[in-house]
Amino acid sequence: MAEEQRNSQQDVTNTPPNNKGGQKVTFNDQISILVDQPRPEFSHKYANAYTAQSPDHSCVAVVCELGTQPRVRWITQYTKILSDTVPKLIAAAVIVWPNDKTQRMVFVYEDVCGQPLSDVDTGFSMGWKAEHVQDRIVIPVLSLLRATNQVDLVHGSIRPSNLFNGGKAGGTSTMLGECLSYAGSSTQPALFEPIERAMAHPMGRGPTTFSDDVYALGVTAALFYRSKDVLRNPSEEDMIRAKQEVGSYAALLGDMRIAPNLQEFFRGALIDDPKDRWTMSDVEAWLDGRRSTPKQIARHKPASRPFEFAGKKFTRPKVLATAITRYPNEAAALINSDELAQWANRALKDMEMIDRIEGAGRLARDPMNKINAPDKIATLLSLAVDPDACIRFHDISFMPDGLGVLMADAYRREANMQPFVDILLSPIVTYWLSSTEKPYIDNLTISQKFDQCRNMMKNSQTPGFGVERAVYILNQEAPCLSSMFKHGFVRTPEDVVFGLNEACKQSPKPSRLLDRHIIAFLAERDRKAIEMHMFDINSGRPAQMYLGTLRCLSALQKRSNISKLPELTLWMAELIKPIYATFHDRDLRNEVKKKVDKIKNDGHLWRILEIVTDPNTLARDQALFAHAFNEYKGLRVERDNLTTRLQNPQLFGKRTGMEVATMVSSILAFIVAAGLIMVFLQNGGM
Amino acid sequence: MAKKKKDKADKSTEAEALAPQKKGGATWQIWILGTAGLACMLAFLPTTILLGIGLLPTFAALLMDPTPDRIKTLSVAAMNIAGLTPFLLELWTSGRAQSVAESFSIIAQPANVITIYAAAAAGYIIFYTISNLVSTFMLERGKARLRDVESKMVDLERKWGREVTGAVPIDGSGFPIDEDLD
Repeated sequence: MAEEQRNSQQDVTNTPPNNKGGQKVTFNDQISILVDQPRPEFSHKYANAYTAQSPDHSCVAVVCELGTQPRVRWITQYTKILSDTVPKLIAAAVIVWPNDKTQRMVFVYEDVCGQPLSDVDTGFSMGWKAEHVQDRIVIPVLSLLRATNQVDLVHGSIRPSNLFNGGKAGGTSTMLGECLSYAGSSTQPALFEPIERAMAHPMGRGPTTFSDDVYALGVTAALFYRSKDVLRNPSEEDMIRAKQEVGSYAALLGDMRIAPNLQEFFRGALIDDPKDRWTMSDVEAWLDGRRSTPKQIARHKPASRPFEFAGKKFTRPKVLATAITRYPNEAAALINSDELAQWANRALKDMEMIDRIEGAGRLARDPMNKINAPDKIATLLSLAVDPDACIRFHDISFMPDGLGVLMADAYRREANMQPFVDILLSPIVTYWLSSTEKPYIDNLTISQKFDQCRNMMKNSQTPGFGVERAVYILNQEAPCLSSMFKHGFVRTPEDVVFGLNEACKQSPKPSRLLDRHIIAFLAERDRKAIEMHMFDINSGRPAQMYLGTLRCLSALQKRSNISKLPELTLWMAELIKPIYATFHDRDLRNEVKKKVDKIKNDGHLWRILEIVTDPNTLARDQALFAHAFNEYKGLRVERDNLTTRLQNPQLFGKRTGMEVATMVSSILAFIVAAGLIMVFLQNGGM
Repeated sequence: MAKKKKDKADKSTEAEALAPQKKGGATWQIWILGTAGLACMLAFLPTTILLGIGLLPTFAALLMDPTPDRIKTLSVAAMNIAGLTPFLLELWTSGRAQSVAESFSIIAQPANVITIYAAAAAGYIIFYTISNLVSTFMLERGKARLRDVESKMVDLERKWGREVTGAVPIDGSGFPIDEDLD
């Protein structure tokens, strides 16, 4: 699918507006998005929808906003859903959006949904008959949930404005809108989320579960069924408080008389405790017509006497926990007294809460947790009082498995990352996991991931580690958040290479190709491609750094069969100048540079790498350097010797001269003597 | 330190043990050689007289020679002996062989003495001339070699960089440790 997306990205053509029609974006040579025909009924906070055309279908294109986190990994599962209750996915691709020339993820669906059953999601009551609610909402959506469950997909966006009439007003062919163009249940108003998820930031709710979809369906059905809003369109905060105080069922339906066939569904779907909420088998039994006794909604019992905190009195622990997170300084004072534990003991008779409060106290006194102590204490205390709630720290609230998405969103918004650093370094998540049993959470996986993040934070100064790495560990869907890709949508290592090629078209060109985000992204998404080069890439020596970068990108280009990267190769040829210095021989450096210059327009990074790392050339250079080193050493000794001797020129060569003179004298004397003897003997003596 | 002291003590003990034997041996040899030499000198007294007077320049050179290994004396002695050769032959082959009178008669002739001493003087001249010529040549050759060596060093540094000089600390691959490679 990634390959398809990349190909289609290259095939995009933008047609400017003309007299005959509006502006079009065409991709895959088949599908045209009509930019001037928006479809607000399919648009949401993170994507805008437009009418689209394909040869066989009338379509709707949902174009994601820049920097959002669509559920690309779930595309395959979505296409396998055996149900007509969701629109069929025609195509998914990354395209260049003509208005701002940014890369956008686009999903093209069949345009079969029709009109939404409601334009708004909150503050309304339809008063539909029970049969209508059951036939047009509950049964179609539960059937869809059964189908999505079979392909291991959850929808995450069940709400009135995402339910459609299937193009037939008053008909029964209800359709549910798409669910791929946003992260998890980030588009859901808090009303449609169970209490613990509703308190979290929409981006920090974590992956949606089947149970959450059932709950959202319960709320949706309740809105269509009830004839009046007992809370009169409350704010999200008031709605959560009402749910905490009286439970979701009562907060939504009050004491309304409910038809027996729906009562079982509402009681199964709107139970606040996820352990008791309807499971797949309950849904299947209900759909098959097997009726059972409606589940009893447990009433939250208030404390026998109120607890006074920050000038207010609280009788419900969940409400108190929310207040504690709002008043961190008062919470810090509370940790040093035993008032809270006494209240838990005497007014709530909750022994587990006492243990949790003591545990929070021990962690709060740990010197390691002194930084931002009041915020941490408030978080720990709130979790001690309400262990089912999401983590609320400073100004962020999240479920631990949603922290990655929230962090990626914070990076996109260029928000302050310090609270996230504090969370990752603190024991808050561990405390949350250990505070109470959470059947809807994979404790082991989350625990391992956060341990991994903590290890990464220990080396936070080094690129590839730190908070950037934590984002990609915690969020498998996160695109690469490098500032070099702020106009792109980079979600695979191959996309990184293409993205860098695009970045090299800009001016000024990036002086460091692999920044902290790219290194962290590759380390998580394609460890093999970067791990062995990480030391070189992080080296302070330019030659080593660029060689590591070149090795990593070359490997990616070769392995992904990317034919050409012209801009990246050209710029790399400029950047790697320090690598020439890895050759000792200055003449060889020029020779290598000439070779690189000759092939730099070919677009193949690996060919440059082959030239600058040719083992024979390097070995020969090394051997010749060693020889030259020794030669220089010998010459230096000779020079020093000659210089010393030449400081006394009158003595230079004197000894040799004397020896030669003696030799000459001796030879001459021998010749003379021998001659005389011969002459003497020839004369027969005297 | 203690080991050094011990070694020193061992060596001195060894030297002390050998010293009386060496001294006694040398004395004995000198005595033998001296006696034999004296006997030879007395046996060949005319030759001894001719050599004693004819080799006076060599003896003078030996006394005043500042050169190491008495190298100048060798040069003078060689020519001095060459100058003395015909007169020694004359002495040994004359009818009055080994006659002290013959020795004195040869020496008494000024031409003979001049010949012998001129040969020794030639030895002096050869020594000074050749040694100066050779040392001057050596000096020039040394200067040229120094220029050549310095030029080669410059060439090596140009081709291989400062790291080849050994003046900068280098890593295992031969690159400067504290500097960027660019």
